[in-house]
Amino acid sequence: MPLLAWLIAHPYEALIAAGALLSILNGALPSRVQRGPVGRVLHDVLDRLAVLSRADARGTLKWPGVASALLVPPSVGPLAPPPDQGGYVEGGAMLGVCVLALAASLACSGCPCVRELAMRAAPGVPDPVGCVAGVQRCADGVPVVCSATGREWAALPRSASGEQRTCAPGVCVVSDGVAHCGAL
Amino acid sequence: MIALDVALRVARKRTAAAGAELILPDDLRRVVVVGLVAAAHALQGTTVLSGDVRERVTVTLPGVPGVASTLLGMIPIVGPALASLGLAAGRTAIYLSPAAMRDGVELLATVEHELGHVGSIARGGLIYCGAYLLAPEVRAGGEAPCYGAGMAVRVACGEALADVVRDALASLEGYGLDSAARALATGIIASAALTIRATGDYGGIVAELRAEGVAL
Repeated sequence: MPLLAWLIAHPYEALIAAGALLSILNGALPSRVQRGPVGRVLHDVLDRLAVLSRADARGTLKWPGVASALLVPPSVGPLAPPPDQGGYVEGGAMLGVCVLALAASLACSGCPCVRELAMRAAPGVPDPVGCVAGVQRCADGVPVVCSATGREWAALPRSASGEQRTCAPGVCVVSDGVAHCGAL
Repeated sequence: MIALDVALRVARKRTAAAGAELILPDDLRRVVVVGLVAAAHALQGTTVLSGDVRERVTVTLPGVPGVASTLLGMIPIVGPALASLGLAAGRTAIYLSPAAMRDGVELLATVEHELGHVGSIARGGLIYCGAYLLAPEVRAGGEAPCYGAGMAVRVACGEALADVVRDALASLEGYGLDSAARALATGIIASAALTIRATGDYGGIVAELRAEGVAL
């Protein structure tokens, strides 16, 4: 009677206790119990409800004998899918796709750090020199304009071969804050 | 006025000298490029519409060599088409728009603009192109001097400097620039305008065209 009163008074705790007993029972049973008619019911019901798997289940944590499950490798490893199976993918390729997806998502997010990284890696993009944004000056015969990231961008294009075009020697000037090529 | 056939001959010669290829508007390869550029504009949320891309946008794309070519071909659905259409030929190519072929002046101005990009790609390669796509500052710093090149050709052909400056600044609005990048582009265009006004040239571009026999 006291037990029945406790069960009625503590329904949740009673359910948890029942689950624990169920798991212990299932963990103590061998897998072969599913072969018999009673075992089949146990397999279908008990095994689905219990937290623990059976004592001799392969490749899983077992009760009792967790240590042996950790130390003793399963007799049969997981089966590798055949390469021609739909959805099959090599691990390396999957990793590459994940890396690309991560890079693309970072790039598309407009993350300033990604932009800065890309600019630092790109040949032809000037290095930051700590100039003041908007200030123009002449540098090696080329008018340059300072950007918000402290880079001095040439105000002349590159030639088709990739060389920086310049003003004629000695005629890059700054007037009213604007750097430009002057007449000879 | 410059005859279109004369301008096309000069454009082909200068493009070939740069090791690049000039793709005309009716070339099938441009159809693929138009789709890619329109998609890029849509992703970046610019104001450029796909119809504008088809009719008005001339674009320079890098050649895709070696391993990158193989990877390009592996892109689902469109990869084999891209590879077979010659984007992977390894040469930088200028894909001309129908608008660029309107007359000789427009063609030369457009090609001189694009040859600036050919130079940037020659210097920075695919990594530069990636930075161009990612960073508005690179687009501003890369595009504005190229617009200056087109401005110089137009002014040498008799257009008013104020008009070409206005057109260049309006065109730069289509590159998804933030305020900082827009300020950079505006500064470069201001410098280009003063250079063109003071010298009648822009880093030697006009002189080179005259040397090719173009009456500027």
